[in-house]
Amino acid sequence: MITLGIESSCDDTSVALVEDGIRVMSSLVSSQVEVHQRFGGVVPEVASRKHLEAMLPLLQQALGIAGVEFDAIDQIAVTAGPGLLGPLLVGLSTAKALAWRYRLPMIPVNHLEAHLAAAFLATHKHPRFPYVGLIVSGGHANLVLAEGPRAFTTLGRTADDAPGELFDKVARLLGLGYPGGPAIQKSGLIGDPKRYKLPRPMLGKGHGFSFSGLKTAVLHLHEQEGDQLSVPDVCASLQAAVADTLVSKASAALSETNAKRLVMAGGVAANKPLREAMAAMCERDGIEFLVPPPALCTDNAAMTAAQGFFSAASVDIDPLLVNARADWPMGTPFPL
Amino acid sequence: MNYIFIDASSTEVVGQVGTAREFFPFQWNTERNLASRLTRLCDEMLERADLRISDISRFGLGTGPGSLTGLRVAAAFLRTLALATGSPLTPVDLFTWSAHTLASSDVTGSVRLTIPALLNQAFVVDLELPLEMPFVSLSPRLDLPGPAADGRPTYGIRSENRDVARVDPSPAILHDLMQTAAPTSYEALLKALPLYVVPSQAEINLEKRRSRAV
Repeated sequence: MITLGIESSCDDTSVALVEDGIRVMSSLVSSQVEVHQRFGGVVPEVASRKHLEAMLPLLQQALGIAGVEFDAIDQIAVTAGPGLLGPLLVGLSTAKALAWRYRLPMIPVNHLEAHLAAAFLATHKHPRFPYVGLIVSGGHANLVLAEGPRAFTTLGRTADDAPGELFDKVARLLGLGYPGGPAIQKSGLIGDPKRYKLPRPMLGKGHGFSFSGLKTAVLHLHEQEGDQLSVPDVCASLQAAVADTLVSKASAALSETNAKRLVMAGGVAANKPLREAMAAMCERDGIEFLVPPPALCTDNAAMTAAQGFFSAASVDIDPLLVNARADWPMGTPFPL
Repeated sequence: MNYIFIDASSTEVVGQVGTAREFFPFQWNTERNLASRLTRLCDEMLERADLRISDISRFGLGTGPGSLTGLRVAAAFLRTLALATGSPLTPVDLFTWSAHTLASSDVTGSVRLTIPALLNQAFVVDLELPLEMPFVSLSPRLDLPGPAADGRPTYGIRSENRDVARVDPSPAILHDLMQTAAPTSYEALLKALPLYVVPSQAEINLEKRRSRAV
């Protein structure tokens, strides 16, 4: 069964064709990073325009790479939220056109749930439950218990900044450019992660996160040290603080839920120190650890198609009536 | 040749379905919820004309200017349908549509057309009637909503006030425009986009920030 995936929740337009939920036939991403750099962040109106321009060429190319025509598509999976409303509506309206014209099933997909599905897509295996899921990206830090394709219980989320947002802000402060995550990782490669003592926020205080204090700590460090500040050491120390915090929280969630499997996903899951620290914890505690390769950590439509395939049976409404929802929580009913 | 047209430039969404012999205009208040209702509206139009989607051989996109979200929802939907079915997509902006409507009432010469925008502004275009071509290239600008300073007749599209006459784009004129040969190339389809007023608010804000920094 061929699932067409469409993703446009933020600043990447993406189209993919995935067979049986686990075999990627084609997966294309049109990034808007350069467009938004001059604004210093994603501008929803500009992003919406670019999604509209990029969508049809991507659709054409994805079909061409997969070597199929429109009539070969069996179902359509599309991100319906959470994300930026204008960009989401472009993808949703594209999907509805095809579903309506060809009378195809359409599966509205939660973007965060799709990030977790990327880990299973990468292993070419269908999801196994239960597992603890950790989604860390530019807009999210969510810790969940997954017990089914759309059965998610949120254990904790960030009270303020997401870790990707933290990296972006610190990178801007240090003059490293945008997006911050890759820049901080690159600079931190030659840094000493123990040079600066940065806080590990909210450890031992439930499953929630808070990363704004870390940002403030780096800001103070920047002011105190002035020209003496070692940027590589700050970057390495910051990544260590984020990794320690996330590893500790994930470990506690695994203990509390008795889950034996951890899935980490989202753009920040591409961060190498974090991946290594999480893998070490899982190996120590006998936990199966699944994390997508970096290319599947950032936003892509292959994960949308995979999650659509895995969750198709849960669609209990007329999907053509679904609307985009900027704040659609994981595991909750489809947005109408 | 059967067509479906949608103009989602305001919450009062205009639709039209037509055949070679007749046409059926529609208007709905979608209460800013077009995305979830769009396929139902299309079903309603097809049913009224006793057509099936497979009978449609041309699509028409109202390109505005107006509500950017509505315009994009309709554009994404209709562009995809045109691509998937290999059918032409005819972009129809409100100024051109209204200009032809005025010309059909024997209005000639220089006119100004305006559409209310936010913040006591209006989208404005100055035109010579009748238009030389069915479709013309336009660059609307933001200006004050009142009458033209040079005394040319000013018309408010779907709007009026004390100094500005009203013009309502005509379904019959739209039907004629939809019969006009539309470009069928892939490149032409990619160019069928909402009629944006440049610069965008984001670009205006960016320019202000830059000016302050200098």
